[in-house]
Amino acid sequence: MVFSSLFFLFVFLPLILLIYFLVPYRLRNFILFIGSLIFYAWGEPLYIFLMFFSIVINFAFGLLIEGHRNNKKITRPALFFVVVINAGLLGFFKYYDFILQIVNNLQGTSFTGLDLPLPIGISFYTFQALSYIVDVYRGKATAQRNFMAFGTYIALFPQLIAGPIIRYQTISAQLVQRKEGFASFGTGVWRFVAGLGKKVLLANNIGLLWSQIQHIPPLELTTCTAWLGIIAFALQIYLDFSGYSDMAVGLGQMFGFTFPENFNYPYISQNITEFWRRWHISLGTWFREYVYIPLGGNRSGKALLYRNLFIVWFLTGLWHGASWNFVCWGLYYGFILALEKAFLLKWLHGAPRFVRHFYTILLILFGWVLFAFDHLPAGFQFIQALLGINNSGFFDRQTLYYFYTQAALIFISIWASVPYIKNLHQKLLKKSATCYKLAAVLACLLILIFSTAYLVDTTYNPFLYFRF
Amino acid sequence: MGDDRLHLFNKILTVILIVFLTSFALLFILLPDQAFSETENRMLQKKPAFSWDNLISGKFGSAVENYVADQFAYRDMWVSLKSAAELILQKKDNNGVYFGREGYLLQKPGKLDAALLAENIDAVNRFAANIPAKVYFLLAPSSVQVLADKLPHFVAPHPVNDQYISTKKLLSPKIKFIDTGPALAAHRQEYIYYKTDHHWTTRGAYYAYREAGPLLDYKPLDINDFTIEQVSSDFYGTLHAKSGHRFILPDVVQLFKPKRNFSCRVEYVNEKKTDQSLYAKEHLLQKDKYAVFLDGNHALVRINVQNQTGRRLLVVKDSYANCLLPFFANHYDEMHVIDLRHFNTSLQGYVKQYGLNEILFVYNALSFAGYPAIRKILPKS
Repeated sequence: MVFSSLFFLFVFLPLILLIYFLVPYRLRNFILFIGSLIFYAWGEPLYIFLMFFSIVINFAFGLLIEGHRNNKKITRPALFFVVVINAGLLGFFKYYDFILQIVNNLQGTSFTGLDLPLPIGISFYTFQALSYIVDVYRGKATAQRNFMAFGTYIALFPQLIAGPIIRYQTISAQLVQRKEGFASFGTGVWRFVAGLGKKVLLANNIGLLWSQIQHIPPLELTTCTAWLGIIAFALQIYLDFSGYSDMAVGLGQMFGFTFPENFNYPYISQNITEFWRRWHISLGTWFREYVYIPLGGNRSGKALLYRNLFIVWFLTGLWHGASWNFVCWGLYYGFILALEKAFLLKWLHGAPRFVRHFYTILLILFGWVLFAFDHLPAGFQFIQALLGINNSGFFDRQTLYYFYTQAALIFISIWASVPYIKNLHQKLLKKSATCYKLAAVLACLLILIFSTAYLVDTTYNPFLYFRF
Repeated sequence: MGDDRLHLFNKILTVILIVFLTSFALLFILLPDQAFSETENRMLQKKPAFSWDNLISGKFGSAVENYVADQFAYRDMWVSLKSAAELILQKKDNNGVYFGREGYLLQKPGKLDAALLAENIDAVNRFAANIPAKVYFLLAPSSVQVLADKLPHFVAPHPVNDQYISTKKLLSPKIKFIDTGPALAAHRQEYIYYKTDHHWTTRGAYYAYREAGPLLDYKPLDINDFTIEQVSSDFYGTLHAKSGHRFILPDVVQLFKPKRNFSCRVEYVNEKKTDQSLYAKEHLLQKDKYAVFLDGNHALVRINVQNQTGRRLLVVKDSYANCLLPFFANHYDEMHVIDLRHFNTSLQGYVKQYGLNEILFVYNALSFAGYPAIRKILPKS
C-alpha cells in the first residue's frame, strides 16, 4: 500500500487511528505492529514472511549479543553471522540478477536471472535491522526484550516503504514510551498534508513532463528542452521523495513518534558536501555511522580517506538500485566530494554566492542524468543534448509549448522546493495572527481536496469502444 | 496565550483531517455503488469477492483500491475539479487530446508507424490490381489536420499533412483518389468537425460528398436541396471523454435530409435486422450520439434505394463513412457497406458473388495509418 492512494487515506488511515486511540496504552504497539503487517501484506502478501523472518532473526540475535556482552568470542561471530544474513537477504532479492548479468558478461556464460519482484522496502528495513544489531553490539543501545516493540520498530508502516531510515538508538526510547496528543497530532496533520500535496499535486504532474521529454529521441532533443526535462526530473524526484518523507514524519507525529528529518531543502546548497548533508539525510547518516567511520573515516591518513570515500559512495550508488548507472552516480558524487575535501571547498569559499549555487545546481543536474537513465549510453546522449553538441538546435516550438503549458507548475514546484513557505509559515505563526491561522487551515483543506481529486482521477479511464 | 492559540490551531487541523477522511469514508459506505459510468462509458469496479488465491496474488488488493477509487462519492465532481485545476495551470493537453481554441478538442496524433502505413497502402494496391472493378479511395482528414489553426499556441507541427499527401501518392494509379483535404480546408471556418468528438460533422461529410461527385460520376445535390434537421444539441463525444476536460460546450448533431421523396431499406446482415431509415434515432438518447448514423459500426450493411440509376457500390470503410453514406444514398440503388474490423469472410469472394463493379474505400487518415486489419482484404496466403 502507498500513502498516496484513496484506500490508504479513506479506509486504512481512519481505521488504524480509530483503533489505535481506542485501545489501552499498552496495546498500542501491538495495534501498530499488526496494522503495519497488513499495510505491508496488502501489496506483497508473500514477502511478509521475509520481513517477519528478518524481524525474528534480528530480535533473537540482539538478545544473544546482549546476553554475552562481555564475551567477544560469542558476540563477534554472532554479529558477523547476522550481518551476513541481513546483507545476504538484501543481496539475493535485490542484486542476484545484476550479479548474474556481470558474471555472464565476464565469463560469456548465459545464466538466466530469477526476475523476482523486489520486496518493497527491503533496502530500508534491512538497514534499520543492521543499525539495531550494530548499536546493540556497540553498547549504544540495549537489546529490545519486547518482541512487539521490536517488530514495531522494523515494520512501522509510516517509514516502512521509503524511509526515513531510523537508527535504533534514536527511537528506542519512543518505542516504549511516547506522548500522543493534539499538539503533535496537529503538527503531524500539517506535515502529512503538505507531503501529500507535494507528491500528488506536484511530483506526479511534473513527472509527466519529464516522461514526455525522456522519450524524445536524443537526436530530436533541443538544448532547452533537455534542460527543461532534467529540471523537471530534479523537481520530481525531490518532491516525490521528500513528500513521501514528510508524510512519514507527519504520520509518525500523529502516533506520537518523532522521526529524524530526511531532507532539508537540498537545492539551496552552496556546495556538494552541503547538498549531501541536506539530501536523504538518514541514508547519509547511516553510511557515515556504519560504514565510513568503522572503516577509519578520515582519521587514518589521506590514502585511506580516499579509499573509504570510494567504498562508501560505491555502496551508496549501489543501494539506489541494481544497475551500473546508480554505481556511476554514487562514484560521481564520491569523486566530487573528494575534490571538495582536497581543495575545491577552499576555492569556493571565496566565490560569490550565486557562483557557488550555480556550481552546485549544475553538478546536481548532471548527476540526475546518470540517475535517470539506467542505460548509460542513453544518459550520455542526453548530456550531449544538454551541452548542445548533438546538432538539434537550441530550442523549437515544442520547447515553447512545454514551457508555455508547464511554466505555472514548474514555478510552484520550485517554490515548494525552497524554504520560503516554511519560513513564512513560522514567522506568521509566531505572530499568532488569527487570520493567518485561518488561511493555513484553509490551505490544508484545499490541498486535501485537490489531492483527492487528482487521486480519484487516476482511475479515470474512459472506454472508447465507439472510437472509430 | 500564544501556546493556547497554537493548541487550538492544532486541534482544528486534527479535526479537519479526521472529519474529511471519515465523512468521505462514510459516504463511500452509505451511497449505493454505481455499476456503470456514463461519462467514461465503462463498467465501474464492483465490490471484489474475497478469495485466498486473490489475496496471495495481490489481485484482491489492487481490486479493492480500484473499487474505492471507482465508487468514490461524487466521482464525476472530483474529475471536474481536477480538470478545473489543470485549466487554471494553463495545461493544454491531456491523455492524447489537445485543448484547442474556440472550444475545440483535437486528437493528438500518435507516432506514425511508417512501415504499417506502407503495408496498408500496399494491401489496398494489391487488392485493386486483382479485381475487375473501378476502385476509389476517399481519405478523410482529421480535425487536427484541417483545423491546425485551432491548436494551442506553439504546438509542434505534426506531419499529418505529409502523411495524407504521401498516402495519396503511394496509392496505385488504378485507384482514383478523392482528395477531400482542400475542399474541407476551404470551409474550415464552418462547423465541419465536432468540437468534442474525433469525427467530422454531417456538414463536413457533405463537402466531401460534393467533392467526390465528379470522380464518382454523379451530380451532387446542392446544400439547399436538403432540409437540415438538428436532432441533438448535447452531444459529448470521444475526445471529451478521453481528455477529461469538463468545461467545454457540447456539440450539435444534424441530419441532412433530401427534400425530394426518399425511401430506403437498410439491412444489417449479421444482426438479421432491417430498417426503413438510415438513422437509428434511439442513439440520440445515449452517450454516443454519432451512432445515429447507420446505427454505428456493423460488419455488413446493405442499403437499397429506388433511385433508378442501376448503380451498385461496395464501400469498405471505418466510422467516418457513417455520416457520408446517407448522401451517397441519393445516387446508388444498392450499397454494400463493409467494416473490415468485423467482416470475416473473403472480400474478393463477396465482390464476385454480387458482381459489384464499383468499390470505394472511406478511411480517416489517422486511423488508416495505424490500422492493422486492412490486410484482411487480401486473400489469405
